[in-house]
Amino acid sequence: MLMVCLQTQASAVNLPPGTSKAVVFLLDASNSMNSNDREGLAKDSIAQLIYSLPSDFYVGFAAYNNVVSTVGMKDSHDRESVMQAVDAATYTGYTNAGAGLTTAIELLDTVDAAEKTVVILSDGEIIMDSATATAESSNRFQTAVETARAQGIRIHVIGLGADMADEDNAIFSASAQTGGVSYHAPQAADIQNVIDSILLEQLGVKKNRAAIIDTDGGTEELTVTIPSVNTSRVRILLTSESPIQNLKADFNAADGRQYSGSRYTLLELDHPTDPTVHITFQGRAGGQVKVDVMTEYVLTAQISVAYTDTEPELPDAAYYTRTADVSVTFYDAGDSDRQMLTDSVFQGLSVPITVDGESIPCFFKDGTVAFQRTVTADVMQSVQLDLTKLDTNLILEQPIAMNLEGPPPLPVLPEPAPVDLRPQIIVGALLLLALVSVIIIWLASRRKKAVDGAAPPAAQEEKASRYGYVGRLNLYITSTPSGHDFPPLTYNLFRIPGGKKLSLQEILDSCNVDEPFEGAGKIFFQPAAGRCLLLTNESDCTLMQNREILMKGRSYQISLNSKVDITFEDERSEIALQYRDVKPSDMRLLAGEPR
Amino acid sequence: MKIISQTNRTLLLEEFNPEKLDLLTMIGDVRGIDSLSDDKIKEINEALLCRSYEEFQEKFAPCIYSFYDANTQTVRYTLKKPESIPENMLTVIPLNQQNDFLKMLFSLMESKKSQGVLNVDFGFEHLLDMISPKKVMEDIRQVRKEIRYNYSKYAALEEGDPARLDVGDKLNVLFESASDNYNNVLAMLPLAIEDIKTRLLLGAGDQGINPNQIALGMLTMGDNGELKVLEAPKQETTALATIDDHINTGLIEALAEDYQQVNECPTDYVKDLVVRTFCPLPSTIQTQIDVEREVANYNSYLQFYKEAKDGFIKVVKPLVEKMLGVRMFFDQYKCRVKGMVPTLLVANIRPEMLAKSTNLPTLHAYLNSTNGKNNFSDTVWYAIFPNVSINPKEGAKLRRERFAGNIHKQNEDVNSMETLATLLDVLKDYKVETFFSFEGRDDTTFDNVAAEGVQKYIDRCEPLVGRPYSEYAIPCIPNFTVIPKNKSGVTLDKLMTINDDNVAQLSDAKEDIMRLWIEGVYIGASYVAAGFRAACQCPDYLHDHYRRKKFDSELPGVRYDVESGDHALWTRTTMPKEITGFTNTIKDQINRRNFGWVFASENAALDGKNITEITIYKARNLLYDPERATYEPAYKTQVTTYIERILRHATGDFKEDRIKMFFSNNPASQKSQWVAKQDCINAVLDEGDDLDYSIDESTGLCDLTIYFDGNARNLEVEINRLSSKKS
Repeated sequence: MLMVCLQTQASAVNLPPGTSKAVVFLLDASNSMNSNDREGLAKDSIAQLIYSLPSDFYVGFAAYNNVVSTVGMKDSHDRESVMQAVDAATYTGYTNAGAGLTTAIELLDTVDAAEKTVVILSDGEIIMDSATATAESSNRFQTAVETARAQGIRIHVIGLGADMADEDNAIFSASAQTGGVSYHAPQAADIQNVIDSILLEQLGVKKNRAAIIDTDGGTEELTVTIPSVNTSRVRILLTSESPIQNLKADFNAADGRQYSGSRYTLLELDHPTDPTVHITFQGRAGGQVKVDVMTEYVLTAQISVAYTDTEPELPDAAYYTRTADVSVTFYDAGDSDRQMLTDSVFQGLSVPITVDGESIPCFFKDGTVAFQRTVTADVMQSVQLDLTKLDTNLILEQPIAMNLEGPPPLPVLPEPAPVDLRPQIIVGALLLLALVSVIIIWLASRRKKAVDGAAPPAAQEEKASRYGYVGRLNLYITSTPSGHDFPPLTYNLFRIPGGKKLSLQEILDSCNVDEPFEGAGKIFFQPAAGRCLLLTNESDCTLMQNREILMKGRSYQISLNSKVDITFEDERSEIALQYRDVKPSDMRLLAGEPR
Repeated sequence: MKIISQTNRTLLLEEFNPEKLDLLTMIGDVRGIDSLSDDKIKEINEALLCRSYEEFQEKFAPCIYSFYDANTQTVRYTLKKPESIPENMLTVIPLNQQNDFLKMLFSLMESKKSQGVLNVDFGFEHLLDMISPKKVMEDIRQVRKEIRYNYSKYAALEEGDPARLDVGDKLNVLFESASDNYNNVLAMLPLAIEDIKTRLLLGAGDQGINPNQIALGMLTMGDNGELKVLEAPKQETTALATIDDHINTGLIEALAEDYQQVNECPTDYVKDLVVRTFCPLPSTIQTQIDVEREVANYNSYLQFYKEAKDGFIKVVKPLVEKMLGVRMFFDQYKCRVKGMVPTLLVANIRPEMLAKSTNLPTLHAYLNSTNGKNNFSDTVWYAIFPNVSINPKEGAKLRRERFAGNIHKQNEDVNSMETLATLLDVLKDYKVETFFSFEGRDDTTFDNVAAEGVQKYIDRCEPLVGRPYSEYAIPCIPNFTVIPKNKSGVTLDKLMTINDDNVAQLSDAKEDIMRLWIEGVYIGASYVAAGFRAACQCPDYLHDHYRRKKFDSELPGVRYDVESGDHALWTRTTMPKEITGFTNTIKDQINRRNFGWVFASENAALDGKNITEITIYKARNLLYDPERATYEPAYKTQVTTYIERILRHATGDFKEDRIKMFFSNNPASQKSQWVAKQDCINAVLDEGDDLDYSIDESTGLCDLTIYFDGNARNLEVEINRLSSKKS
């Protein structure tokens, strides 16, 4: 067996070349923003976005009013200068979006990046001091949009305020023409939600919600566990609708920084050595702080190839049949001795690999992704790993070049006597036929299973929670289309073993409620930390708690002794759910009762 | 009482006047909210919270509606305002102190209380006839005397004299109360009945002389010297001799004019009736009497009056019983210095409405607002759930009805056990102790318990035992009797007949005696039990009853154990004794398991004085301790709740370090302060009691153990982990 090692080299200090992405934030700094963004939340949101971006992003910033002020594309080490430019922007003058977008495109031209994006934040149409100037700016804007489209630059637009409620305006058209997305934030406070959406959906940034903390005005303590060790960088983002004060963090890492705005605080830790970060902070009484963790790995990939040569079955073959066992291992871009992605969280995760256009399903095993290739001659192939399915930010230069050596020639032997191979061929053909039949049957059965199991996809995918259920649910059916009066129902959650995910429909079924409640099958419960219940709404029902609508597709922590009101999809059936504690002594009492 | 200022707010789960605001209506829609605003709680308190019976009467103005049915020629009564009947056809009869039935019941209770005699010896009939026309007329006589007196003064004074105006004011008030009757024919009936009697049976009554013997005459001596009363020359009419004067003439004119103006459709007959009623008889204007017609009128009036009164009492009785309950709730708090006055929050809604799934979230939201905060001024500590159905014995042998017997029909106006269980499940979440009592009938009284024992109550409460809410359920027995069923007959009057001499006389025939049966009036035991317990919470009340013992003005009587020592004799209900007592067998039965909140009508003496009031024999809830085969005393639950609430408040929602401080031996710690006051009558920790705690770090639970005279009661509280959330 022959082992050959190939290693891709990182050209930058930490950042592999060709991995970069570039974003330019284009801020409308016209006078009208003074009324739409009195508290400067737009700048705050841009700052939060800039700091939250992984290290492979070049960031630029431009602000336009009568003139355009700009700061060039900066890598992750120099984001402070971008932030200074953001802070320096003042809301005054007209809205020369044409000049602004042209400058943004020009900024993007200065870097070599795989993905280029412009995020425009504006509160109105292009307006200059004269009709001519307005028309000129509009033309420039349109030209810049066309240039962007030609260069594959995507433009996302955040429309702020009432003037941007109309989706047909010129600024929004930029996103439509370049494959970007338009967002509308009626008020500056709504930009936060848009920022989340752009980060997750458009820029592909991976983040995990670590906690939602209801603040009471006192000092809150929080321990964040980083899901895997050996990360290159971890960003812990705390966002709130009110300032987060007196934040102190206790961590072990090579370096750490803290960035704070009026509604966010971001902790950036380089190479943390301890998976737990202890944070204390002070929030406003009655507020809520969301804590997100973004892990980032800056990697180099090392490909190891082991060859296995076998004698070919064909009599006239001149070369051995060579199989290459290829394994890809990952190392820290800054320290080639430090192997990465070896944590158990990666074990078994899917990493599809494309080799010269051919897709191969692969999985992580002990920090390595392995696959096989048959080699017939010396060849250079490109390997592309699809890392998008992992919920961490991985920066890796791709594609990776893989050199495979061809098989050695067979030794030249004296001409053998002709052998009659027909029986072997017949047997081989029969075996092949049997194998094909088995494969067809297997595939058919697999498809059937997939169809059978498609009914509750969410439930199937969902893993059991690591917490156990406590308490009980009181269900009060307050309205039904039939007008039937139901007695109050109680569902003893504490008797449910493990962290099994439950749908509301299952709960109603076990309470023998035969009335249909549309959407109940798509409202799920799971136990969560702090004796809470995690409620996930996948339905179109209206869920309300404390005058707040619980959004579809989101999960919410329901604390003990709180109530959720549900109006079902038929808009007539209503249930009030109460999540209540059960004392240990009562559990014993209730143990003998039917659920 | 710096932290918890009251421990006796009581929620009454009953409806009194559907036309007034109720708890559910006031709370409104609670979708998406967990609790109510302070403004809303204040608004509810303003509308539903009562500090006295008078306030209750004013806020809820209980009333009954009457209307006439032309088909049956009867008057109909209903407690619920009939929606299909126009307002002008409805008469609202307020049930206030002026109502003769309620007035009769109040007088009866007061009289019984002051006499201190048992039911068997009490002359109910003397007070029951307060609703007869005769007694109504007696009241009117008093009014008319005042009217005449004031009118004479008014007439005597010169016009323009300021004193005349003062008298005029008084007359206006008197005329106003008299005119209440003008427009209400039913109210005029007793007046008309008595008026006819007076005119037709002149001279009867006082000497018991039969009116048919009367013929005015002169005493003479006969030809032979014998004494004779010779009949005077008979006049054409029975018009009365008139000794008129200008005062009466003026009064007659004033009344007649007032009647004409006040009444919508005046009639001469009623006008004369009003005038005759409110003017002294001798001075009334002469009226022709058609004896036959008047007798027929009298008989039909009396019949109608009897039927109307009968119908009225049947309909109003359940409401009046509830009102008496409220009165007795407040009546328990007899105290010189008013400190922590018991307050009653009247839900004014039927419990079964409240217990509906659609309405329970509303109740939750309310109780969460009052009981789920560290502000205890509006905290509800007790609830009263009266009138729980007690099923008649099932499987009773069916017999042929040879004689008219009691109809054992299920009372439809009672609250079900299921409703109680549903509400208990909610109330226990907010640690509200619920006093419940069974429907008021003759088989839930002292008499019945004395005869049959308490087993049927134990059986009836069985479904509520062994539940998480058991310790918050307090069954109260027996109910109190205001009028016993067998003594509830009221004789209104006798029908009239005309004898051969065309003279009217009252008939002596048995069937002509107009009598109606009230069929017993009872007060739910839960009202009195809750009222008593609420009174005992006030340190001043306890101080009033234990002058020689130490008390602390800062501590509520949560730990006051009425069963302990001779406490039951020192603090008694205000209800008069009813029977001679329970037999020893029955008491053994009660003591075997210490069941329920049981009142006793026992012979006892304290400091040489006989006790004439009902005492408390047992004060237990339904939390059953199988080890000791006994039900737990009710006070333990409230002490536990009180300590938990104080602890939550004092430790900033159970912060670990402050919990340790709370229990420490530091003299400033709350525990030390309680221990220092152990010799007070209202001590939170009595002598022999103790408090202990342990904290389980792994579960985050703090286990409190409260030792009541050595018996442990556990309380689990979750330590505040707000400051140590795990990600």
